[in-house]
Amino acid sequence: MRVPRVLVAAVQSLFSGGGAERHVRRLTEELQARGVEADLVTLPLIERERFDLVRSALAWRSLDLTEVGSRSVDAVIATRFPSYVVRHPNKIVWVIHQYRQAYDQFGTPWSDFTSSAEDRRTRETIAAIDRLGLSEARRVFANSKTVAARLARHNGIASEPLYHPPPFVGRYRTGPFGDYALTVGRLDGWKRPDLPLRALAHAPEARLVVVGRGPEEERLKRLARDLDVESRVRWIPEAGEEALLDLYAGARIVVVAPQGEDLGYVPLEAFLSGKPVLTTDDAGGPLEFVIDGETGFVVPPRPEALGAALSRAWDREDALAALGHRGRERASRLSWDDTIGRLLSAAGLSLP
Amino acid sequence: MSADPEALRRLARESGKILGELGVRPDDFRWIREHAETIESLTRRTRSPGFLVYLRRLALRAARKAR
Repeated sequence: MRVPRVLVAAVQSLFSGGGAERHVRRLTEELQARGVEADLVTLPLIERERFDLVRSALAWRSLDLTEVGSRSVDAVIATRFPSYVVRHPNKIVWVIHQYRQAYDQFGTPWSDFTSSAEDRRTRETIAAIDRLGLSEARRVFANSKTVAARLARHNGIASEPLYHPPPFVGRYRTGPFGDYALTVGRLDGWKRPDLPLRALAHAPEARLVVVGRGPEEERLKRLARDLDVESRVRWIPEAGEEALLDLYAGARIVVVAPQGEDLGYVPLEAFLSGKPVLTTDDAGGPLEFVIDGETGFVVPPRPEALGAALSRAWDREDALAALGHRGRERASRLSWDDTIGRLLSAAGLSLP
Repeated sequence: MSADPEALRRLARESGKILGELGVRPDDFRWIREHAETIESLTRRTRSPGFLVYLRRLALRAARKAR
């Protein structure tokens, strides 16, 4: 059987790499591991001015990946805005990130779009770019139900949720319940990293380990001092892979505080480490896995509510084990075999 | 060495058409001017200012047709 040739198209974040970058690299590797001739195509998204967004889409649209090196490419799997306007007759889109500042984040502190004429035109153009790239795809997947719902609401595009395992699947390990709650993620405003800190003020027995760095770092350290919780917080700006796996394995509970997250690997990583998750009822993607009383705690996004849940976690270790166990069962069902199978089948391809 | 003017004209036409597909409108004057300037930057600085206007007109016409 002929070996399928597949290209993964993704936007590159220069000098930084988050979950999306790891994800597309892993997707390419998983395709290769199954005998597919796969490669990753990336272009950066530079945003000095509004027109740069259109320039970036223009760069992607100028690429026709139908044939590379005199050999045809069987399919393209495009992921983030605006990589999905790339030209290919057999294009599958797996939406990992839309340009959310133009949609659901518009009008919130997390979007810098104003009501100016240029910003209005930019938002309209982003919607037109999305419409073009997504409507010509053979199939559109979203990385969560939350993202699929946004695509339907803002773009009128139907898509299928397609989950995948978190980045270090196969390496997560369980361990005894330690004396700290763990929070992992970029310290950005919209991720609400202040919420777990504020919760500590309502849970005097709890300790917190914060893994991540970002623009909010200094402000958060000041906040910890002001709240008088500084002595119970440990900051780890950057944890290596093994250190992160150890931190998950030794946590008591994992706190996931962002609002309207697309999917979020952290709950899945926590579950595969046998730990329950504390999140909020406006978390978005995490709520597709974190079920209150079954795999963790879901509370309103208020410090006192999170604090009360932390106190419960410190009182009831026996309950934590059961919650973490059920979470682990649920997250263990995700497999790259299934994900790759669905992507290739959507493209009319099969494994060699 | 300067880019071939015919190659630039083709680039202006093709990319102008793509801009139209992407939702850029003929009245997005500033964006079309910036785009023409990007193409023009591939030429020698000594090229006449009229060439930039010409490229802009080509891109604009292509964007209008694509809509």
